[in-house]
Amino acid sequence: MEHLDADLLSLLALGEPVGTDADAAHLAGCPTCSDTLRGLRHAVHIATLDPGGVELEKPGSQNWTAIHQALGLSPALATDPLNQHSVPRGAPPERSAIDPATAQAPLNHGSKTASAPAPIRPSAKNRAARPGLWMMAAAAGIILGTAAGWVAAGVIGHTGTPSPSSTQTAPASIVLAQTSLSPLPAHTGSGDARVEQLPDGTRQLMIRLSNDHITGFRGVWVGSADLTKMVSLGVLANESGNFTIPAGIDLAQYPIVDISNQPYNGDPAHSADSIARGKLNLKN
Amino acid sequence: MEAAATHDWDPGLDRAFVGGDERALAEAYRRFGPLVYTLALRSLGERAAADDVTQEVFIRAWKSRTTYRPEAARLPAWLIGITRNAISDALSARARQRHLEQAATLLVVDPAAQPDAGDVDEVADRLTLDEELEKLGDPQQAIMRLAFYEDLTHDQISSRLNLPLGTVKSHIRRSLARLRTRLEVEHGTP
Repeated sequence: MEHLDADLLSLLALGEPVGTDADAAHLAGCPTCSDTLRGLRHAVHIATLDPGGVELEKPGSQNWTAIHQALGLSPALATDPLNQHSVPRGAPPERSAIDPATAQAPLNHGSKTASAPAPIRPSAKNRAARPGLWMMAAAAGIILGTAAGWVAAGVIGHTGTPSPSSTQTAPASIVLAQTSLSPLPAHTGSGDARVEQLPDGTRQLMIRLSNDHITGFRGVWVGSADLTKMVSLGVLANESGNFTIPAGIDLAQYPIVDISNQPYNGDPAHSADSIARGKLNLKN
Repeated sequence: MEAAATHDWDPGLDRAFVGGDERALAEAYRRFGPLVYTLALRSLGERAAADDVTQEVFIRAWKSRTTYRPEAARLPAWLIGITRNAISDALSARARQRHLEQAATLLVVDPAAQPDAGDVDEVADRLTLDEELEKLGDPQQAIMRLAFYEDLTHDQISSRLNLPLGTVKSHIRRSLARLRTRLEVEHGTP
């Protein structure tokens, strides 16, 4: 007798009551067919397994601490994610919208609503309310107006590893734009910002800013000329730092460099307290 | 601590991860850290070694995120792949130091590290198959989901999706064979 039909074996693996007595007899005596069936049944078993039924052990908090430290992650992410219900998510773009008329005043009208941590993965409810928002932002590789913890490859500047630019000898990086950073009222820090294109094509925003006594940490942003759109590039830990500009960001649309004083309240939106600001003059 | 499946892991997080959003890393750790840790603990038998592997996996994943391609693999399955590599690295490093018998003796040092059900590996496999299912495309994916998760028979699927019976059957055959192959590849058996 020929081996069992492959369609039949698949349906048997799924648990359908198919096949004749003759098929059953063949299966019992044929190692090839029973082997195939066993393999297929295993695949069905795995695919339909309930992962929730398996108890897992929680790694100790020293693990996240070690990861956080080794990668030089943002201070905002220092808490072991396993001790949190969810990782705080960035504010949706509209929450960071800035009224040009009050650009020096509150940048963010919604900061009160941020006290409850929102999941990084929107709940079904959120998704229904704002379809596609998170997806669009994520697809573009950017999270608009979002967490100060968004350090991207700017991590390089924080880990003590030499930044690509400082290790490059030739060919040299190209300066695409620069600006001085002027202090805003109530602040004294000033410095400059420069955008360089590295030989590998990535653009780095290089910030130098003199010390200013602030109560929080310093967030680095690029924004549209009217400050209605802001993109967080990370945290400026020292007097200088380099931040990778996501490839999807057109600096002609985001010419403003803004450094903010971000309170340690976990709110990822712009604090509305800008320390210094400048406008990039694009070379071309 | 419950395990998590890929199907409720937002693809947006895959792209946020590759885009350098550190919160995607933290979320991946929150969701899959326990699975990575438990897999390592079951294989290596020592908490210190499982700690090392857990740290190594997430550090390695973040550092190599630019080589991760969301369109080719889902993040959970990719993390599992890195975990398996890190575990086998740890096992070979250990084997270089002592005989395997001695290593096996070590496995009983910590009773908590003993597998109770041995199905942690299966949870990891489930993540791999979730990814493979997503790659199937439609109507294959829809057919398999109805068969797996709604427990429909092939003729019920045929009328539900308004597809010929023969088409449904051959999609089931090819898709199941593909899932089976993926599992075998994952575990290095022919």
